[in-house]
Amino acid sequence: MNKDDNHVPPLHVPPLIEARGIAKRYPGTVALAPVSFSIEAGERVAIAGPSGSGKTTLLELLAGTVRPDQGELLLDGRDLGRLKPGRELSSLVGMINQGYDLVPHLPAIHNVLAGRLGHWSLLRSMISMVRVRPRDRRLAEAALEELGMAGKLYERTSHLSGGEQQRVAVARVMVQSPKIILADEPVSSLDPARAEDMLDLMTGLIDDSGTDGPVHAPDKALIATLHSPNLILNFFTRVIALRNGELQFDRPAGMVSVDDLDDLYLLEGNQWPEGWDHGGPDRGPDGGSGRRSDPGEAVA
Amino acid sequence: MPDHRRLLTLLMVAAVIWSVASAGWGGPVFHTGGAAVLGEIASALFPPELSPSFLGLALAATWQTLVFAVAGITLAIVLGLPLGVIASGAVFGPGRSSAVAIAAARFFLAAVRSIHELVWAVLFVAAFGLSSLTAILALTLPYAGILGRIYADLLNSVPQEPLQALRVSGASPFRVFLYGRLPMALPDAVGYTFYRFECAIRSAAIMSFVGIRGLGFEIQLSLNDLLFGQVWTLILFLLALVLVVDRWSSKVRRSMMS
Repeated sequence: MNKDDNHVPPLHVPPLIEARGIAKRYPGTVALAPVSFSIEAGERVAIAGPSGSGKTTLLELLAGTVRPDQGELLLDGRDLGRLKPGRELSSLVGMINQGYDLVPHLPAIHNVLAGRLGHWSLLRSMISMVRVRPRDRRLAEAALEELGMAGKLYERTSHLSGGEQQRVAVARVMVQSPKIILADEPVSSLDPARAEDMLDLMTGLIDDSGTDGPVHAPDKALIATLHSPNLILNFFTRVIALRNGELQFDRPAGMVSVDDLDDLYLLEGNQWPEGWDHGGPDRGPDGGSGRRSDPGEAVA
Repeated sequence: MPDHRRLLTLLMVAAVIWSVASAGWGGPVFHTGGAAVLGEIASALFPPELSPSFLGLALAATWQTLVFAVAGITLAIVLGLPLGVIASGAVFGPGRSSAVAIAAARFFLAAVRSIHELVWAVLFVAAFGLSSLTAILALTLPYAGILGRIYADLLNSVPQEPLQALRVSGASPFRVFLYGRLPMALPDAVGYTFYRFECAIRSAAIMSFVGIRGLGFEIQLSLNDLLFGQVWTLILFLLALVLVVDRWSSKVRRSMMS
């Protein structure tokens, strides 16, 4: 379908993310068995699963920091492996990490503006370290202000509270403004109130798409790993559940119950029956979580 | 693996025992007149030589030593920092030419620091005579080797997560260096450089062994004349110099922390 009309945008836009049978193994373990899915702009996807289920591997694959052993990964219709690091990749993918991963020794402004490093020339990156351009300063200021942190621009990052550091990390992704925002356990170290706050901020990044233009169609997606069933069902539109590197289910959040998610964790430490096979690289079986081999053992 | 380690430990213990045993315990170990000399040296401290003319001389010698140390450590930073950055491999992508550059920088740093500053001084005396240039170059080379090596290690031992976060936001290795490695390694690098500056003051003082002027030179002259009071004065000046640098360094480090 390539009907180009002068007045209407093309009807068929490629999904933001299209994964076709991507897989990753490390010596001795299958980190991620072949998995396929596609994610559209506007989606908020939670990746759920116990530790070691392949969540982080999946995020690393999407971020391009780890290459899949097999399969194809298209971002915005383009092969991730062929995207140039720097401007191209950074305008597509951004990441917020568990520990926020800021440089503690720098003033907040540099940690925020680090989100622009992929776009800046080398010279500009060097000059900015010494003298921040007024335009960039306003950019960082606006981001921090929106997150309720005005006036902390030149505070040393290590002197900020945990909640403030988390905002700086969000502000970094805001100024980077990628289409795909990845978050690796962004709320795992936060108390429940703070966790909701953080997820509010992050989902805000998706809904605020097109801040400086009249475009209101969503053009961004959020993909986060997290554990809490309540947070997953309250803040996300879709759940991809993994266990032992295998896809358990991939459903709209409305079709997932708290029990489904709890079951994922009940299974931890338990083995699937020998030779169990969910059926290859296509979507995993819905309701696969019902196939516990021995629930009694898992609880014990 | 543990077997190898045990063997190595045994060998080292044996080496210690052998060296102690072969130290020549047969003859007199103590110098019988030593106690008297020690007493004389100790009593010379109360008071040390404080005549204005000698204080002037001590001050000039201290200044001379300080100048050598400052010039030596400054050039060592100028030489050691870029070489350390190259040797760390932090600013290069993968590739054959970068591997060569890393190996070359590492080799140079190892080569210059494997030779003691006094040996460098002997070599440079032969080339430049008893000039300031000799003293400064003799300090610069080994200190550049030491600082470069430490800078490389510090740049490589910073936490990796923030670096990875910078890479994901699209930063090239040099930008990761600028916005991640350098600011994280800087406080330790500054602290270590100050410590090495103290060492450079001591090294500058003993340049007298090859005949270069400074505190050590004056200490040697006074010792030869058995003027222990003067020796004490000079030692106190050296001590004061090191203490001042120590205070300065902790001040700088504190200001970097806030």
